[in-house]
Amino acid sequence: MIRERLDSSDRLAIAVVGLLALVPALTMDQYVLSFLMLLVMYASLAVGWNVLGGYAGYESFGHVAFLGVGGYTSVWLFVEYGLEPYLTAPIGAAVAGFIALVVGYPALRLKGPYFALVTLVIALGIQAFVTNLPGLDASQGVFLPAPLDDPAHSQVLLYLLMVGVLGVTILAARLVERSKYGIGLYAIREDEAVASTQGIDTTRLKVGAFVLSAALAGLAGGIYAWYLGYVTPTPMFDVRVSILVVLMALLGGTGNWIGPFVGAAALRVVDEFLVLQFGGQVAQIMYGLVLVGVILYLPHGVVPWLRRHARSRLPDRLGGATPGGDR
Amino acid sequence: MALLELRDIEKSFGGLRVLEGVSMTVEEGSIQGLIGPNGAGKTTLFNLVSGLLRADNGTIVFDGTDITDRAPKHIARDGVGRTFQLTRPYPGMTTQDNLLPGLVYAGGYDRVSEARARALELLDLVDLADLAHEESRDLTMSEQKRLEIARALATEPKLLLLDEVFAGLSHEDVARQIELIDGIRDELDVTILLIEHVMEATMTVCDRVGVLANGTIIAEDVPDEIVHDEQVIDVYLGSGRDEVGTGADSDATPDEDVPETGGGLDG
Amino acid sequence: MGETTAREPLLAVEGVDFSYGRARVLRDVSLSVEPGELVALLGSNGAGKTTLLENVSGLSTPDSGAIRFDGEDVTSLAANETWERGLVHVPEDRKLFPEMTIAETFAIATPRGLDDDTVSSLRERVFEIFPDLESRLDQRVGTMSGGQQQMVSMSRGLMSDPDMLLLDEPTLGLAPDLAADILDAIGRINEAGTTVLLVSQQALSALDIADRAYVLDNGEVTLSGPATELKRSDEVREAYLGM
Repeated sequence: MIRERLDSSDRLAIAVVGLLALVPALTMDQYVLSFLMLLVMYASLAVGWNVLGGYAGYESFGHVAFLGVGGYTSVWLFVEYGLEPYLTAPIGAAVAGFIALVVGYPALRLKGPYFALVTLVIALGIQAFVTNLPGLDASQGVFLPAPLDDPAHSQVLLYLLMVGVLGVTILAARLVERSKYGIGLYAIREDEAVASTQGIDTTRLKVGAFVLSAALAGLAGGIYAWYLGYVTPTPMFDVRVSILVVLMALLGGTGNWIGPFVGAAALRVVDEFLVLQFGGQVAQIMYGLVLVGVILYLPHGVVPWLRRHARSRLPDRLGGATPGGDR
Repeated sequence: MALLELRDIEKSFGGLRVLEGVSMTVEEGSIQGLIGPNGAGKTTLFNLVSGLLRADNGTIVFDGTDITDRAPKHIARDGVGRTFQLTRPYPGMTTQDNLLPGLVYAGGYDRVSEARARALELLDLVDLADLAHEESRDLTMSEQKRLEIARALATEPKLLLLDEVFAGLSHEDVARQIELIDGIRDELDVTILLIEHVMEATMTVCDRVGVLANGTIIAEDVPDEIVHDEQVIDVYLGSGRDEVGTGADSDATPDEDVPETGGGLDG
Repeated sequence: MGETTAREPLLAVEGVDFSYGRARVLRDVSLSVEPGELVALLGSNGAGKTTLLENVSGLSTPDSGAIRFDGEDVTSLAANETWERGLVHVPEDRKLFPEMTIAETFAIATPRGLDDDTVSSLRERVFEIFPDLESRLDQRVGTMSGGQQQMVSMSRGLMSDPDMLLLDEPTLGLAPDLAADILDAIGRINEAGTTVLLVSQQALSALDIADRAYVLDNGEVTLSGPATELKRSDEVREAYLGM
């Protein structure tokens, strides 16, 4: 790995994560915390997904599977051994990463829409597998108690842990962006055949990115399970999460970590706003229209568009010094 | 010594036999040309040597190692670099960033900052330093060709495969490109094998020229001999062309409709 | 005798400016091509020749200025619209569909509503210039070599039965004998009535078949005139004919 001074992208990351971590010091409002909890989780998922989806150009549509694996690993570790979130989540990450290693080699031979389909199917397979594991009784629903005695404190703790997950995710993404691995992934995205004639082991890099992004999702899932309290397969393996994560990254811009973060935050805010203003059905319709609008008018995503139009006012390297360019 | 040796290479695509027993050698330190009619299989040969395709039969030996079945990434690290006929730089990357993957993964530059510095040096060599921060897809075709050369050099090759790097260049640009290629051989110690249709350039810059036609090498000699070889004229060069020949021949004054190689313009 | 009425050129480019991003590629470019003429467009790489053809055919739209074809203002028309009017562009980088066979490529390029005899004679003309293609009609274009694709690309343009052809480096990547044959063929196609605007690095050969020529340098027209004159001009000889 390359050690370089912190640049503006790193400072932005620290600021963002720091601010999010400070929220509980300002308010203990349950609504705010639960809204931010989901926002931070989606942001982690999107930034993590982007390491393979955006940097290498392999768009997985099965990302939720790793969220679920992480979540159910937490469940099992609590039920069997009474372990707490700080342990169950990292182990959940490891399990998710291992599964990605196994399915990654065959899956990553495919490209584009074929890869998207295969990951979707694999995710369904993993869901079926986990849901039907004998020891787990997943379909019945499992209770995970609050980690602390006071429910309000528990909520804050889990929120901070999820902010921690976001921090780890962004750190991982930044390390990749700045290192030779990032360069290799970008080359794969731009032209995989040429990349191989330049000495790049494309298989190893792709699988590595897949494993990393899966582990990060597993980490988020490990905490999410505790947050749910009552864990059922539906939220843990919801295919809509997979799709939303892809949309958030595409909407924000996939060149570096900032795009998916902005995309996730923006979509969560819009979603929440629409639901509050218009209620269920209408909100869904309008949400869809927003997505279509952004795709039509900002095809490279929001962040590159913002950067282009704010060039005169924002520092030049706001998006970070990555060779990826705007995508 | 022979840096690259092809022995009886055969390659078919579906039912189409393209290469039927191609044998040739490239001496270390030389600049060798490979010419031949369209569809003869020249780029296919490059794809075989760089590992993007696998030969049906035959052997390819590079720098003493059998690379016939080796993967492209290993061949690149062994020391073979190449350009592509229809230029394909990494489109979303800047000119400078285009060189980074090769430098880092095959050129041995582990630190990104060192790789960036070396990238600028290479861009200087091919006269693209001014365009370092432009997106590579915005470059003109001749600029992209030079970028491809720089990108191939980034992998620190011993053998450089150039695929039609003179196509579409003006006379001035051809002269500069010839200088560049000579410089690469002399200063960087790189052996060069080039596919070309621009005869003026090929005959000037190459030490030897091989002719691939009908699936095999039909002739292999110094440029002067090749240009006068009857079989080669028949199958490829044609007669009465003013753009053929060594540098001296293209000095025909425009008022003369009859070029030196004889015949008329009745094709 | 009577007076000669000034006839409008078939193609008139008037004061066209075009920028790509922040780079000015074309500056106040004007040129014209009379019906039946073969006009060559010379200049070094990056001079803007390809960009000019793209502006004419509609792949790009000029920032200012006008383009008229056959009396009609076509400045903001798209490429398919100019094609419908008989202005056919054969681009430098071929832009073929790799999964299609040659036969399919031709089928798309042939305008609707032509009678069978016309279509047959268009094909015959193509095979006369490129005999190699006749035996490969069912071969997929993506499996052909670069030079062969060049042939298909040009044939596709011819199959559209054009009134005017915009040819961007038609001899690129072709073996010398074939390259020479193509330039001859372009000359003959022109004699048979198709107007041609030809961009080519093979300046000498292009001037041999052209009536007039323009030289584009850094986005501006710096020289123009009858081909024979340009062949004798010192500037042209030095810069483009390597003499």
